[in-house]
This record gives sequence, structure tokens and C-alpha cells, in this order.
Amino acid sequence: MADTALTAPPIAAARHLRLPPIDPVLALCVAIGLALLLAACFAPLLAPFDPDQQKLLARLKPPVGFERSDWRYPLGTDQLGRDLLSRCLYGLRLSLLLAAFGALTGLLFGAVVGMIAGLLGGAVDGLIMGVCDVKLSLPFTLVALLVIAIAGSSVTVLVLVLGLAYWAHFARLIRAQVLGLRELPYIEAARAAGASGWRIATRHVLPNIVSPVIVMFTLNFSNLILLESALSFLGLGVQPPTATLGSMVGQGRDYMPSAPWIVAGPALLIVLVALTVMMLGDWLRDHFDVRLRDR
Amino acid sequence: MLEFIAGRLLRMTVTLWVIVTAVFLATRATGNPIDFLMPEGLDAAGRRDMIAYFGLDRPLVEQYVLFWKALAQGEFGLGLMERRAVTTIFAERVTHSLSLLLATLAVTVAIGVPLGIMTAIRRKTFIGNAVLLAAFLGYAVPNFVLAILLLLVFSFTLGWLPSTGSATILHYLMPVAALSAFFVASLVRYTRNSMLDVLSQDYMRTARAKGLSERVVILKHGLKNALIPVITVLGLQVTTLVSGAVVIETVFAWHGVGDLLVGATLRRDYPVLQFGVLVVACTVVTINVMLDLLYSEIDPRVRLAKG
Repeated sequence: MADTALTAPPIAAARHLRLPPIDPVLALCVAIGLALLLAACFAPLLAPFDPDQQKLLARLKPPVGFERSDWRYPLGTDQLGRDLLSRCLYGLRLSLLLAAFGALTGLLFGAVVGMIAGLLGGAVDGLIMGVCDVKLSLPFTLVALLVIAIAGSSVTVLVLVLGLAYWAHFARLIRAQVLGLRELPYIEAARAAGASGWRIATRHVLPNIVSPVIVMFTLNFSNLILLESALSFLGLGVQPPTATLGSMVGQGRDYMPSAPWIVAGPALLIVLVALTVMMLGDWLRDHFDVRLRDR
Repeated sequence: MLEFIAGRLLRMTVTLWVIVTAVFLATRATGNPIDFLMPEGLDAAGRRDMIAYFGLDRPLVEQYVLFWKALAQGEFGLGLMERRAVTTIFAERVTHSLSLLLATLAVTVAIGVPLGIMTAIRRKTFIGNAVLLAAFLGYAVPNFVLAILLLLVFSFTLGWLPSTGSATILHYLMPVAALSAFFVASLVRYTRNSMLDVLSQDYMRTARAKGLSERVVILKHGLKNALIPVITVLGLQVTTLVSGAVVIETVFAWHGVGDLLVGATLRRDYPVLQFGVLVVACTVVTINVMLDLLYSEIDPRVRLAKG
């Protein structure tokens, strides 16, 4: 391989270095994703008002462009006179944070469990995979309901619930990857050289299973945004007055006939975030998985 | 074959046992549920009496034995809110949920499979791409947002459809649409992928070479083979469908099990929640095993690979 690279004409090398043509849809997704991320990061700076501040004189103002609207509230206000732009920004921030921590929790737990199952094998493997099977055969909403009924709903509990949602998926993926890798010559070589199990796991196995894990992480992230918003929508997520996108939709629901804008903004944001992350995840999957390139 | 069935049934039994035990432990994990149940200002003696009444002061092992005994006798206690047997409360709800789920399943298959075939055959055409884009949207729009959008348009603006209840066929339109969108979208994608795999197989070329009409080639040789993985996916989606129904029932005040369970969670009605989780989880697990056995009947490769 090294020889051919050295003797290859410089043109070929240049072609190899050239970036692939930019896909406009992908570029749009990245741009929207970055904009949403920045908006969430700088929500405290961007929001014109305190998201929980109630102004009873400015209740149910419609967004700019409608009758009775007020320029100080570009997206209007809700039934308690809270500024919807500020609430959307803070809601987006909290929703993204919850989904990110939830996905990370699931990934960490799944990675540890999956690595243990894959590397140890035998009875431990059988037990872990059995538990995964049970987890995967249950409608997750039921598990979430049970946990929330018992532990109450707080940010910590919610992160835990979201983490529980996909750990088994991660564990299975990582176990399968580890099993595939375990017999490869370089792992054997490391073992022959006397490397410890921990060292083999962290230095030799982990770096080689990163790409499918990234793909799964991205796809699960968008699912978690939907799950969190569904739980918050049902009133089982973060408790009021704190805004998440789902709870804004859930609480605005009662005012829909007269003030549909309360629901419209956060609902659109949920769709936008989920769609963007999903497109990115799909692109990553196609990019990493050569078999799918022709489709 | 017998060995395969026995293996599956054994695994199902273990799964069910794990579910029952997990539910038992979970509902007793955080001290006493009594504190949520009793009216405020209950004195210490009253609290002690109630704990004794529910058997919550006994050792965990004994409670576990009692729990199983009650299960075996079909005694699941009274709902805390309604003071009626949870089994009765459930019986009233179950048909509503089942009819919603079956309607959704029917709509999903009736729309998803043909669209999936269409997008596989008409690849890279305008209509094919439009359907795929719509499927992508169906994936990303959460069911409750779709439900609310439908309510806004068809109930509050146009006034064509009733917003809550389940009395007539008109009541079904919006909940079924909101619930099935995601599943139609995923079925379109799976059917398409599966169909694309099959279309490039040698036996398809053979069928065409024999001079069969395109219709027969696609439907008889193509679809029949493409449907096997699709059925598998549909089986896996049962859990997602139940999860989705929980949300949709709440939005449309559908008098079903999902609506009941969300209410029970919000009010910490443990007996109802415990029974609900048990029944729904066990049903789903059983359905999955049945489907598993069904595929092995349809497709012998499954049996050979796993058994």
C-alpha cells in the first residue's frame, strides 16, 4: 500500500485530498443545526425576558403580523403573559440538554455493559443479553411511567429515564462489534503481548467501534428529543413553570382554539430539531456504511 | 421445531417473571407509597393502620409471596381513585384501546406496503421522491404534534371532526391518522429497502426471462419474498405502537388503557399502574413470541439460523 501511494502521480493524490462536493441539503441541515445549537447555548443572552416572568396585562398577545400584536413580544405571549420567544429559547436549551445527557447516559451504560458482555462472554454475556431482551420487548413508555410515578419528575429522574430508553440498543451494538473484533489478529497480538483486559478494551477495541456508535448516538438523540417532548407534553417531564418544548405544547393545548400560536412555535421547533438531527444521522450512516452508498 | 418452540416459550416465561418481579420491586423501591395515597394530615396511628392493611410492614420476601398469591388468584386490588377492582376498570377500557390499535395497524399495512413497493419500483422519479420525503417527515413529526395540528385544522377551524371521544367512525379518523403516520413512514422505508434487495435477485431475472408479466413478477415473486423482513419489523413495532397509543389516547381523551395509565401515573394510583404495566407488558411479550413462531413457520431460514 505504501509503495503505491509513493509512486502514484501527484494528480491522484490531489484528487484524493479534494473534499467531496457539498450536498445542499446536508449544508442546510448543518446550518440549521448550528443555529439551533447557538440559540440554545446563548439563550440567556438572546431572550428578551425572563421565561417565567408573568405579565397579566400582556396575556395572550399574538405574534407579530397579527392584530393586537406587540413588537416587544415577537412570538406573542401565553395565557400567563410570558414571552413565548424567551420560553422557546429556554425550552430548546433544556430539551437539547436533557436529550444530550440522556443519550450520553444510555451510551455510557450501554457501552460498559456491552463491552463486558462481549469481552467476557459465557454466562455473563447470556445474562446481560437476556436483560437486554426483556428491555427491548417492553413498550418503553410503560417503563417511563412507572419510574416517574415512583421517583417523581425532576431533571435528574428525566435524564435517567431517557438514559434507560436506549442503553440496550447501545449494549447490543457494542457487544456485536466487540465480538467481531475479538478474533482479529491485532487484538490477539495485543493479548499475546500481555496487555490487560482493560487496556485491550480501551486502547484497541473502543477506537475501532466509534463510527457505528456515533451513527447510533445521533439517531437516538433525535428519538430522545421526541421522547422527552412526549413525556413533558403529558405533564410527566420537568415540572412547571420551567419550560421545555414538549411542556409548552402540552400546556398550550387548552388554549388552542383561541390562541394557537402558543402551541405552534414550540411544536415547529420540536419538528425542526428532530428533522435536522435525523437527517444528519442518516447522512452519517450512509457515509460510514459503504453498502448503502448506491441507494 | 419442537425444541425451537420450547426454547422460545422458556425465554418468554423468564421474561414474564422478570417483568413481574421488576414491577413488584419498583413499586416498593421508594419507601412507602402510603404517603402519596393518604389524605394530608393523617395521624401516625392512622398511617400505621393503613400500612398494616396493605401489608407493607411485612418483610419483602413475604410481600413477594403474597404478591404472587394475589396474582394467581386474580386479585389485583382496588384502584385508589375509583375504589373499584382494577380488573373491572381495565375491562371497560381494553376494547377501546384494542380497536384503536387494530384500526391503526390496518391503515398502516394498507397504505405503507403499496407505497413502499411503489417507491422501490419508481426509483428516482418525482412521485417516488415525494413519497420518501413525506415518509421522512412522518418520522420526525412526533405523534402528539401531528394530533394537535389535526385538531387545530379539522376540529377548531373547520369544525368537521369531533375533538374527543370514540363513539362514531368519525372519532377514529384523527387518532388513527396521528398514530399511524410514524408507522406508515417506517413501513414505507422498510418495504422499499426490502423490495430493492429482492429486485436485484437472480430469481427475479429468471421470472422475467420466463416471460411472466411485470405484475406477476413484482407481486408474486418480489413481494412475497420482500414481505418476510417487513413482517418482522412490524412485529418489533408493536411495542412502539403501544407507547404511541398512550400519548394519542391522552390527546383525544380516548377512553382507553393508555389514557388510564397516564392518569394513574399523575395521581400515583399504584394498583392501577402496577396492573396496567403487568398486563400490557405481558401481552406485548406474548404477541412477540407468537409472531416469532409465525415467522419460523413462514420462513424456515429463521428456524435454522436461531434454533
